[in-house]
Amino acid sequence: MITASTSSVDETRSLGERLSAALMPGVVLVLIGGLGAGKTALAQGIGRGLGVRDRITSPTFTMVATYPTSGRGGIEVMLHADLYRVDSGVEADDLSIAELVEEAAVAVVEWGDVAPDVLGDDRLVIRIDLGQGTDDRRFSFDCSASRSLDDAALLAVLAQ
Amino acid sequence: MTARRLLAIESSCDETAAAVVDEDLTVVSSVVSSQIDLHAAFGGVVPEVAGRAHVELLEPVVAQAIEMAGGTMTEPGIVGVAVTRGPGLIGSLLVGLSGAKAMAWAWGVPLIGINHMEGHLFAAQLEAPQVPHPHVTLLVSGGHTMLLLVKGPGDYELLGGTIDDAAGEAYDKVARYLGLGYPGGPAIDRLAGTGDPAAYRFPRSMAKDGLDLSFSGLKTSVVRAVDQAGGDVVVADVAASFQAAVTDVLVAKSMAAVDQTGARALVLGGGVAANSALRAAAGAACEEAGIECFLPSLAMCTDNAAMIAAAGWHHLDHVGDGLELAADPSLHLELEGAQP
Repeated sequence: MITASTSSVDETRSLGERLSAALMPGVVLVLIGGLGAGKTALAQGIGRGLGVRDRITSPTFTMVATYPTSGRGGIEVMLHADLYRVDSGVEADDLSIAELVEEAAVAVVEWGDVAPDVLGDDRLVIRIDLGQGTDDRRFSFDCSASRSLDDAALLAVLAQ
Repeated sequence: MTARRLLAIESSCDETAAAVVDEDLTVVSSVVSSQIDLHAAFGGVVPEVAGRAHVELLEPVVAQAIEMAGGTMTEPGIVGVAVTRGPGLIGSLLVGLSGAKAMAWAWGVPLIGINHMEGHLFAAQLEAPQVPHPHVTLLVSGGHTMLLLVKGPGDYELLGGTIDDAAGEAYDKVARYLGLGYPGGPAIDRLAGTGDPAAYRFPRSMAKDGLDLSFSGLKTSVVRAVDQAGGDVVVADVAASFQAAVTDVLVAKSMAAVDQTGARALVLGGGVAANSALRAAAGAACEEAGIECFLPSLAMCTDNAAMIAAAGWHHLDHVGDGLELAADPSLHLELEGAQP
C-alpha cells in the first residue's frame, strides 16, 4: 500500500497530475472518501495531467462526464463518474463504466465503493482521509485489484 | 383561426414533462410528472439512473398535455416538437428524445433539439416578457451554477460558473450529511428559518478570479464544524449558517456581474431559485442597486417543458433537426452571438 499526504487543494491537484503519468488505458480509479475529502480536486489534477482542457466539475448530477484528453499514452478520453446518488450495483452497472474504459479511456469514479464489482478488473482504489489541519489529506493507493498498476509504478510517479 | 402550437418534451433529470405553448408564448398546458397530484396518476417518483420510469411516463404525460390543449395523440394540432437533448442524464435524455423523434416523424412536423439550460433562460420570457435586455441570469440548480449575460433571446455570454460543486448539489450533500433527506434545498430552507444564521461563520468562498464560484470548501467546513462538536450541534443553526453562506456568495457574485456588465435586471432560474433566503436577498440587493429583480414562480424555476417550448419557438424557423439528432449529456450552451 502506497500512501501520500497533501496540505492544500492545490497540492491534491498536483498529486493527481503526477498520478496521471502512471495510468494506462482501461484503468478505473475508485475514489473513496467522505464529503469534502477532495475527490473532485484529485480528479481535476488527473485531468490536468491527461491534458483535459475543459473545466472539470463535480459529476454528481450527470453521473458520468466525458472529457477528451491530449491522447498521450493511448488515453483519449477521461470519464469522470460519481456514484453518490446510486443505491445499488445494478444501477451502477447501467452506467457501463467497465465497458466504456475499454475504448482508450480511463475512468475516475467518485463514491465508487458502493459497487466495486461492476467497475471492471483493472481498478486502483484510492482512499482519502481528513488529516489534522483543515486542508490536510491522506491518500492510500491500493493496487491489489489492478492489472496495469503496481506499487513500484505508483512510487515512480508519486515520488517525483 | 387557431393559434400555432408547439409541443415540448423535457426528461433530462428526474421529471418527465410535456407542454403545449402558443407562438405568442401563452402556455396552453404544462404537465410535470413529479407534481404531487400526478404521482397518483402515474405511479410515483422517477428513478434516476435507467430512465425506465421516463419510458412509462412519457406517453401519458405527453397525451395529457395535448389533451389539455384540446388535441389528441392522432390529431395533436401542433406545428413541431421541441425536446431537451442535453445536458442531463443520458438514460433519461434518450427516452424523451426518442419519443420526440417518433412523434415528430409520425405527425410529419419538425423536430427541434433544445439545450436544457437555454430552456431555463427562456423561463423568464414566459412569465415576464418585459424583463429588459441585457440582463444577468443566475442559473442555480442541482447540476448547474452559472452567471450569464442575456443580451437578447438566443444571445448569451457566460460570465462565470462553479469550479467544483453546483450550489444545489452542496445543498443536497449537506442535507444528507445532516440527516435531513432529499431534496436538500427545501429541507434546509425550512429548518434554516428556525436557526441562527450567525451561529457559524462559514467561509464565503469567492473563488477569487472574477465571477466564478466555489462551494466545495463550504461543504468541507460544515463537515468540520459538525465533527469538531462531536456531532452535538443545533442542526437548525448549521442549516441557517450554511444557507447564509451560499446566499451571500450567490448574491455577491450576481451583483458583481450586474456591475461589470451594466445589466438592467437580475433574473433567477433553476431549482435553487426557489430558495426563500436567496429570493429575499436577491430582491433586497437589486432594490439597493436600483435595478429590476425578476424571480420566476416556483413552477417555472424547476424543470418543466413550457420553458423548452419557449426556446423551441425561438429556434423553430432556423433549426430543422433530423432524426439522427443525438442526446448529449454534457451539451454546452451556445454562447455569445449564438443568434442563428
